[in-house]
Amino acid sequence: MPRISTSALRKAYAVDALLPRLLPPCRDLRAAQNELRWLREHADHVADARRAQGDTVSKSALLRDLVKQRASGKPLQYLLGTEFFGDLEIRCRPGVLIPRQDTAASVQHLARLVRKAQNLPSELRVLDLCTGTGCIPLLFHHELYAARADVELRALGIDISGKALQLAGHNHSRLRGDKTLADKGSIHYMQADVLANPFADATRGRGRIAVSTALRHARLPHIWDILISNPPYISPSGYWKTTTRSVRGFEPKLALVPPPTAGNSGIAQGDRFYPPILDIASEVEAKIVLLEVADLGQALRVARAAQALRMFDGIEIWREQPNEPDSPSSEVAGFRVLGEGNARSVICWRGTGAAWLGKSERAPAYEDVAFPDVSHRARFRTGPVSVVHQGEALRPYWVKHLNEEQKAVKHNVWRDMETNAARERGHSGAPEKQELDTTVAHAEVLPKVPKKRGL
Amino acid sequence: MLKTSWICRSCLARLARPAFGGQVRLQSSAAAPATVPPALLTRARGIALEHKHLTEKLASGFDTRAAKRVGECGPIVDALGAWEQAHESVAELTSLIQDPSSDAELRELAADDLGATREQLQTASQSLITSLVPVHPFAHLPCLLEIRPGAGGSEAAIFAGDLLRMYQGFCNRNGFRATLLKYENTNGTQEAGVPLSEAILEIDQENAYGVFRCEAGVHRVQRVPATEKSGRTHTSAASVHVLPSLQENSAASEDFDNPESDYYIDVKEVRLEVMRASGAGGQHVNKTESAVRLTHIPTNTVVSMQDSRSQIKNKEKAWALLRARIAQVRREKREEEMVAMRRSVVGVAKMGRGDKIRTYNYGQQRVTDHRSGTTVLNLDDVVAGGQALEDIMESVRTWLMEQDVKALVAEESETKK
Repeated sequence: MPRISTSALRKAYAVDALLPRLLPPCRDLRAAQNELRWLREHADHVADARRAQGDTVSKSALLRDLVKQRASGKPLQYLLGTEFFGDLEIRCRPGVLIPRQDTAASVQHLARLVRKAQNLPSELRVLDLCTGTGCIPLLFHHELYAARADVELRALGIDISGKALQLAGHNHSRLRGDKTLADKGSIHYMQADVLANPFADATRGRGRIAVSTALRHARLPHIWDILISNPPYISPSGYWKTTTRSVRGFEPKLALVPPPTAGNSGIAQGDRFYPPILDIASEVEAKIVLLEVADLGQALRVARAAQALRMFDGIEIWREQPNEPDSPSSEVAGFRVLGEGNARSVICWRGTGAAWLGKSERAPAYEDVAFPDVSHRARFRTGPVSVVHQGEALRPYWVKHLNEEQKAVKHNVWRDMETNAARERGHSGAPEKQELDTTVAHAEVLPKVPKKRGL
Repeated sequence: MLKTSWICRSCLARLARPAFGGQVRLQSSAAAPATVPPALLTRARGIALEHKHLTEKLASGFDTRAAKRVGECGPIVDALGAWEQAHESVAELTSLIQDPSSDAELRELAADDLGATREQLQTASQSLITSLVPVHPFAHLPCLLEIRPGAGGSEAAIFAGDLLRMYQGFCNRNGFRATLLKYENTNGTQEAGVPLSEAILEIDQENAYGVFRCEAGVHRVQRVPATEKSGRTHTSAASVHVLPSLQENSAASEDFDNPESDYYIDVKEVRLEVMRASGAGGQHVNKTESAVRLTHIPTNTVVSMQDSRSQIKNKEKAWALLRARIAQVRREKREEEMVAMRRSVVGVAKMGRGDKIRTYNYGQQRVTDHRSGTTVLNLDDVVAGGQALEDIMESVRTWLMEQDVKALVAEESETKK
């Protein structure tokens, strides 16, 4: 990062004595001025509140302290305690990922498409994996009830972190309390691990329960209409290269980088959450799946993986602003890309989901994927397991698996699935495999960024 | 050789004039001609063509402006259709009569029909001309009538009071709701019965501006004033200003979705820019940038907003600000037009007795309008605001329309060159 010029610092000092300290995290005088204004408002507010309780506190000391913390790189959202997510003001606490504007844009766009749909079920079920502050179910609820009253929304946010779930519950009760959220529908939060193996022994400890097991234990429905997820998606190398200091230094790594596994590093580690999430999507028979991704490369990898499942009628990639009217759309590698900016999410739909999204044209459906048949899962598994699955497609998911011997299922079979699918289409699996490999190679060939010295 | 050595100038001038026939009126309110000037006809045909194109365009997709224009053109197209039909039938009948081969009975029938058809043609051309004349943009609005005495001292002030009563009587008779916004007599009080120094009458009625527009100007009075001791006739004047009253529809103009409103902005004409984090975005950065910039492309008005931490709130605020700015510009433009119009109605220098629009002569019990040339010999009824006043106003409106037609023809032939 370039050093901040002395002239810029001097200019900032001329405006306000505290401003030069905010320049390093903000990089820009205008942004720094805005942040200083917000910090000052916050300090005034806090000081007034404390004085009302009989405490004596100096506004200027409070502001100086806030600026000092901000100068060290602490995110403004943690200092002020809130962040705007769409129309909602969501509480933030250290240890839980701060909601991002881009996520809000995608979720808002999805909710606005869905609320226009004619044939919504009387109970719409929305499942959010890796919910964090619980912002996605809250925003979906807010957007849906802004235009519809005839649908009962049932939303469930799932996270592995207890801290996050506590904060999500707090956000929910706070927004319900001040009447920002309509007094309709229900939102719940539940602890589960997306990466956990549903067939493993579930008694080993809390927080390692798989999603399907947790749903069963809580006696919650096992069919969900919409699945949204903003999982950790940054690869270890990307974490050191592309994240900003305030993200690296202050936001939980748990919410940013997927945990490593043996023989699975680099880009594959960044992509680690998507195969299990797509598996869950097929288990809960989701009609719409919205997954946030880091960039166009990851979007394409996720889209191909979803395509290889042969479960969806259509797959689209949304950029940062898909909601603007007449936003440009293009075609990349066979997928429609909508909006402007970085590629931000992948949306897949099937069955009635197409109508909910207003996609009238139906992509060529795979004749053998008859909803709610899940036998397609079996088709791509090789070996005796697939034989067990066949003919049992209509039985509840877990019954089927309880009959199986409890053995570990590797989630990274998805790459094999892809090559299998390519082979079935009449090609050899080689080209796609090669393409994947080149992306990996490309990432590794990237010039090493020299480590910064000092600050 | 003449016997007289010289002839006085007035007698010579007398010789030049015809002995009989009296005065020749140059400005005439004679019956409308049966033919439509060709310039107007081409204009009407052009509008009809435009109407056809726009209708086709509207069939494929809705556009507010096109729809509005189609609505404006509709009456002209209808009138043109009626005129063309009448014109054709007249031509047909005429050819039938003049054709020697047609049989006598048929010719008789055609001759019978011709009279009625000619009349039809005349009405059709009249309505075509009327529809072509653009309606005054403020004609549908309520209006303000301001009356002030001009040259003539206290007699003028007394006459101004008479005029005010005349218009109040007119409003009462026609059921217009008139409110006296301001009344000030020469003593600076509001007491009645003292000569008037200024009065403002608000006529709260749709189309009031269209009705009273022709009243603006200097009204001249010729009479023996009540203040005169030796019985001489004085000539004095009072001025009348007529202004459309616009503040009435302000509530309607704040409706954002109404294309008529000052606050209306077409979303397609605005470019939205948001500050996007450079680089990867998403989970990689926790940006606090929330600035929004809107640009209204036709006027190049730029509004940027960065007050709130919420981008959505900034966007809302920016839209409100942009609307307010555009509305302000539009309002200023309209007010400028108003000022220009006010000056053109009665300039400060034109307040004398010379530039009168109407004369009230009490000695002869007549009222003459100098624009339309109408004279009414029923002064008492006029001053009471009765039917006679209505007749005079109607004649002036007709005259105004003829002027507009002339201007249209002139403009049309100008563009042809």
